[in-house]
Amino acid sequence: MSPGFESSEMAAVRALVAEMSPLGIAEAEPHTALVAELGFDSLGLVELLIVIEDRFGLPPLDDRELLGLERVADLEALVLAAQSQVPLR
Amino acid sequence: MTPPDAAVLVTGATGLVGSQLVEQLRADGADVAGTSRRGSPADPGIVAWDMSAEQPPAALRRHWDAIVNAAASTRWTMGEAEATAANVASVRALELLVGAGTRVVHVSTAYATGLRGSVESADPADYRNTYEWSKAHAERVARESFANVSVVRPPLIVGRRADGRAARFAGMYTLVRGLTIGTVPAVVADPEARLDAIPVDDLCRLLARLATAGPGPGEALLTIAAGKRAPRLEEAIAVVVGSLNEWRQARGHEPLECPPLIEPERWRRFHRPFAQRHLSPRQLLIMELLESFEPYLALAQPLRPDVEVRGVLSCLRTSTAYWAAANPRVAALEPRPWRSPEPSPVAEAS
Repeated sequence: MSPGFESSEMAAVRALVAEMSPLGIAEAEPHTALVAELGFDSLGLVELLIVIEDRFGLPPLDDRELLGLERVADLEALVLAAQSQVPLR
Repeated sequence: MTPPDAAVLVTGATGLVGSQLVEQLRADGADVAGTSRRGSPADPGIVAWDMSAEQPPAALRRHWDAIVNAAASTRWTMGEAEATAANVASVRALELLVGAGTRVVHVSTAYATGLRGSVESADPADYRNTYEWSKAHAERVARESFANVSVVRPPLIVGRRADGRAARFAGMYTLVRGLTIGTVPAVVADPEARLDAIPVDDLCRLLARLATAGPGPGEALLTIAAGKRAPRLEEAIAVVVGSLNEWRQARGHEPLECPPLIEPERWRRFHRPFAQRHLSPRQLLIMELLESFEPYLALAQPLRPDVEVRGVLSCLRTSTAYWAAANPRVAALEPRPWRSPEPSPVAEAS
């Protein structure tokens, strides 16, 4: 996976996070806090995960792990780790 | 009576209510300033102020004819300390800005009266969640702290009546998102339960009038809602799904199905025990998270508004369409049926 590919995927993750932010925050940066700054509640975080899996064709991620995530960068790391599990097609 | 160019401060000015109110007051000719936790790069009239943690900035220390407190955190899952900081400390923070001639309009919620029908109890057990509990406390503080205060209690708030525009998608939009993403396979609700939601501009016209003209007799506490005119939940969900499907059909996406309504007793006796045995950990987690909605969906008695709002179904349709246009990636997701989970190929391989 090239660094360029990785960063464009992460930009897409951030765009989805911003789109789904209950507070209507237009931009999410890696350091942005998912709950305190973007206003996600627990259900919102699970929904975000479902949409990310759908968008990137990922296997089901661990919801309980998601509920412990603090920042957008933590979510990006979770997505990257899941992508590395997807078999090459 | 305050002059038309009254100096009005709106807190929570980038939120669903605050942003619409700032627009409304400016159109009315008021001299408006706003505050929000982060300020607004697009609007220099909105000052950054974290009301729950900081003293008011110097720029706000001037005479105000009226202050409308529209700042709040509406998450139901807040801890008590977080809810108190967000919804009570923020009211106390206004004390330094309220002068002898300042009228305060405090935006509360129609559900602040909790399970006992009153805001007087300090016991969290008397409320459905910490949000209600903190909003009840905020009302008591506002009443004790400010000589000239009006409290307004709206139910769920949706976008503008004409075009559904909303600056934030919380509250009712949780249902819209859940229906689209497929986290709501069924709605556990009393068949008589209603979805009482009002358009944000109806609320803001009332708030603007209270701020600039002042309350009339008997207007110190006002509930604005659809009350007995609010649609039953089943009808409201059908309209929301219908609106989503119109948007989807126009873009070639499969229609979503309307989730069935299950009575709470039937859910507890038959569906829930079955679900607990057969659903995936994620589905069980979603079920657990959706349980916070149950107390509201068991409310068979309509709200009793002082200001009655009409045309809720049409507002739900328009607001859902606006949401879909603003969230195209989520609105276009393919429906995923809830069934017993099958092991994923990856899980098998590992």
